[in-house]
Amino acid sequence: MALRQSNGAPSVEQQPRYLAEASRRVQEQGFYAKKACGARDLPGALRHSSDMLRELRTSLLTPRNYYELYMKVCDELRHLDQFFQQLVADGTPAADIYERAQACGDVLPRLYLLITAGAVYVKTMQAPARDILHDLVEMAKGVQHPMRGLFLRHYLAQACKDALPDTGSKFEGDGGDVSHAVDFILRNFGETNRLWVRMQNQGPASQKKRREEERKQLKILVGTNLVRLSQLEGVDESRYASDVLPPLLEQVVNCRDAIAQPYLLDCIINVFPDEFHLATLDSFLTCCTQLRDKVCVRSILEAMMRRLANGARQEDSEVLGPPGAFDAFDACASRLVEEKKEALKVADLIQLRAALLEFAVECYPGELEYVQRCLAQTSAAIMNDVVGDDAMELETLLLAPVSSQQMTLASLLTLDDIAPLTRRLPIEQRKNVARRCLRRVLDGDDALDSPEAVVKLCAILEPLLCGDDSSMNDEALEKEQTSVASLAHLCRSESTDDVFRVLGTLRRALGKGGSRRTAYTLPALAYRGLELARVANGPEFSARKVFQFVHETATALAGVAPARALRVFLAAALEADAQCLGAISYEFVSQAFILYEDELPDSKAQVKALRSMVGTLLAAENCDAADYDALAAKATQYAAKLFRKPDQCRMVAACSHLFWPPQRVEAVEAPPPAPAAEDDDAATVEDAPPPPPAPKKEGRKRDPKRVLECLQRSLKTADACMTSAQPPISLFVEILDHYLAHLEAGNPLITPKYIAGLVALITEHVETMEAGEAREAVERHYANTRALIKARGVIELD
Amino acid sequence: MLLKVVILGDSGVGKTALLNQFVNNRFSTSYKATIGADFLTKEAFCGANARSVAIDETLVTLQIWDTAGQERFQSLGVGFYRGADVCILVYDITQPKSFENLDTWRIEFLTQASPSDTQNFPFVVIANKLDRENDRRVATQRAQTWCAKNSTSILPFFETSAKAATEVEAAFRKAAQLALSQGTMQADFIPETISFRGSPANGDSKSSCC
Repeated sequence: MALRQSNGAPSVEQQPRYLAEASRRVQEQGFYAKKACGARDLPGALRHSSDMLRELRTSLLTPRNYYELYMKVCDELRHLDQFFQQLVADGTPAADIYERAQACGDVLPRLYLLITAGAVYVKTMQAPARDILHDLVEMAKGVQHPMRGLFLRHYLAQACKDALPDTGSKFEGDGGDVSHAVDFILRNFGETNRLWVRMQNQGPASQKKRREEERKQLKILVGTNLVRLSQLEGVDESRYASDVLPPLLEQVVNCRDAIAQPYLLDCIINVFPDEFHLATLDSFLTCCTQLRDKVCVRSILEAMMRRLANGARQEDSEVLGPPGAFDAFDACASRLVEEKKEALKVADLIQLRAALLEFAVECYPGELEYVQRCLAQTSAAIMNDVVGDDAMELETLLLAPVSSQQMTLASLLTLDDIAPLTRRLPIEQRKNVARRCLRRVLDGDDALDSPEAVVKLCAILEPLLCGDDSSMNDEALEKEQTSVASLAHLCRSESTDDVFRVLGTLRRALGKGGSRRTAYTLPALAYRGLELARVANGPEFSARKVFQFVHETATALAGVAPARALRVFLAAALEADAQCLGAISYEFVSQAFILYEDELPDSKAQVKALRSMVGTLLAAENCDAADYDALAAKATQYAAKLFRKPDQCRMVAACSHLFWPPQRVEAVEAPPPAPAAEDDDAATVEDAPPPPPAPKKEGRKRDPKRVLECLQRSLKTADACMTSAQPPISLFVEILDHYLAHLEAGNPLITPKYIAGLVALITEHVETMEAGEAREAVERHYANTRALIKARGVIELD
Repeated sequence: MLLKVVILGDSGVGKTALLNQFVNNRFSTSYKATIGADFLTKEAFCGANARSVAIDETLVTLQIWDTAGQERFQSLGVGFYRGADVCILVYDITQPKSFENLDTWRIEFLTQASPSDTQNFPFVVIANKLDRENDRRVATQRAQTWCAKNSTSILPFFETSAKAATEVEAAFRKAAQLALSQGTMQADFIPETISFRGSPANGDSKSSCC
């Protein structure tokens, strides 16, 4: 004890030296022992080994350093173990070695040697495992110094792990059975735990803190025994319930130690499988109510519930909550809350409920009542807004139901406590809950099929749908609102009337979002509306009503994102045209044209919009002839007024096609409809009121002269561009393509002579171009066009 | 010859399962956490050269240390890292976090084991739970990039399934082969003076209250 400090603590600064010295002596004696083994000198091997083992009698080392030294010793003892086995294989009776090992005078070295020899005795099948193991576990009582005893017993458990009469091992039978293996480990565990607990009360009270620290470091030596138990093949669920857990819990309760109790229960939770826990939950929970006051029962319950919930989450798991388990946890939790009311902080309370909730969600997917109960209890416990730890715990609690894969949308929306609870959170955490909820709902893809569902969901998602958005940058906002917009596609139902109501409700909720949000959300609503317009057949809401909704939505959008609104109007126009709702279609197109004139921000947007407008007009087969003429003329005017000359040139050429629209396939040419009775699809069409009215108006007219005018005007503009620094020869090739298209479409005014003229012009211009990428691009395009001319035999090419 | 192998990785990635599959050819679906550290041994024939034929192979005893992935179950420190000949890093392809933590495990190992040559200490990386390919959240490419970044030579990478016994054997054999070719075996202790009486006078300073 001389080198120990006066207060009994190992000197910290001397630790490296003590460890180095002891290690060197271990190595030295280990070396001689190995040498003796090599020389088949049993007395020598035992003598040097026991000299080596004497180093473990030190009191100078802290637990961690003692552990290091112990590992070095164990490494050396493995050679001795091999030597013993060799001797036995060569004919020395194992009993002799077992006897000789006990000759060492000092108790600690003797016991290490005895254990090493004992394990060989069993492994060479020369003695029944049960007897030797019993012998060893009893003899180890000879060391009562806590730290040395703990390590000795750790060595015992380690050395004998392959010598247990476990089910299926070769030591079964004469060696005993798994019950002996269990008994051996339980005894060793009991003694280990006793030594460990006793450390607490040894030495002066002033050293209590340091002792507790040391105990916490040494705890794995105790826990290792539980790992051994969990590794026994012969311990199944029923043996665990009858022979393993009860003595373990008895130890836990009876040791009355506030460090041992939570640790051992934590080990039990972790090392044994879920099925075992579920089969013995009642005893476990009863034990939890018998612990020392200082023990945090809440975290033990949580650890168990989280473990079971995790297990249930695994894909191929069949572990779902057994009847009664939830109630047992709930009762235990409630009793805890009741008993420790003063001691429990709000965060603790929420955390406990969160674990219970997670357990309910994952293990009892069908039992919404459990989830509701947890949420109601939480609501009752939270009177005010929460911050800090409380908020963090509440966030975790709310994430369990809103992000669980086990929750259907319908189930989630029955949980009325969620939305009010989210309002207790600070805004960022509230948003996080909303985001996770949204992601889950979109991933789940369950239909939003009633206005009530929309209202309830939007209450949870509220912080994403409205409120201050100034802190978000454009990119983050776009990402978030694109997700929000996807809700439109969840609006589904058998009845189109219902879908319309749902969509309307969602429109009202999203409409409150302000201009930055609605720029992303309104288009989705409008397009979903157009999909609905195609199939709307409800007694209450016809396609016309749906088109009104789209019109209103697009008009609202026009204020915040005119270019996007313009595209919605055009898409709506086409949809209406397809349904032969001429007036509606015309109204939509007009709105698009008004937006074009008044709202578009720049010429780039104009060109893009104008292309869409020309395309829409061409596709609007059922358009009234007079309306069409007016719109085509207007579009051409727009094209001629574009800001940049090349844009004018291109768009006017594109407009030429407006005067040679594709002719509608006449109804008489359509194949006769299939007999209604035999064809479901046909039947649906038959049911759909009202049937599309037969087009009675005159079709769109073709005007060869206007076509030619457009092309010639385009050419003139292109010519005007030739004075610029880099003359856009490509424009001529594009115009040539338009000429060819019209020639092919049968316009009588477009004759090969125009083609020949253009070809000559382009050939000449291309040759004057500077070599480079621009010329190469033009040449490639032109070569393709020439190939077409040649293939069609339009004119002779040289 | 004894080769010491240490397996590291986050809790629940399947370290114990891999070891059990390799040593005992067994797999259990129930999850049991590991507490502290424990080793299993397996004897195997192994060659130091990847292309070696059976004739070059020697019988080695692999002492494979299974470790607790949760820090609170390592209260006595990680003294058992020391003397390792090779380290196997394991992650779960369905848990990106376990992949991201490979860095921490690698650095922790090198710090604590302090091998003589940290630059060239052999590691093997195992991506486990290949049987759950459908839930994969760590792309193979990402792991290979990590391996290339963290090694001067090629850091062997295996995608395994402890459950289906896919590539488990190959990964451990590779580890053993690296350990052998590395030749990092610690030199045997040589005493300063050889005394045939061999009892050093060192027993006096210690208590004997056992």
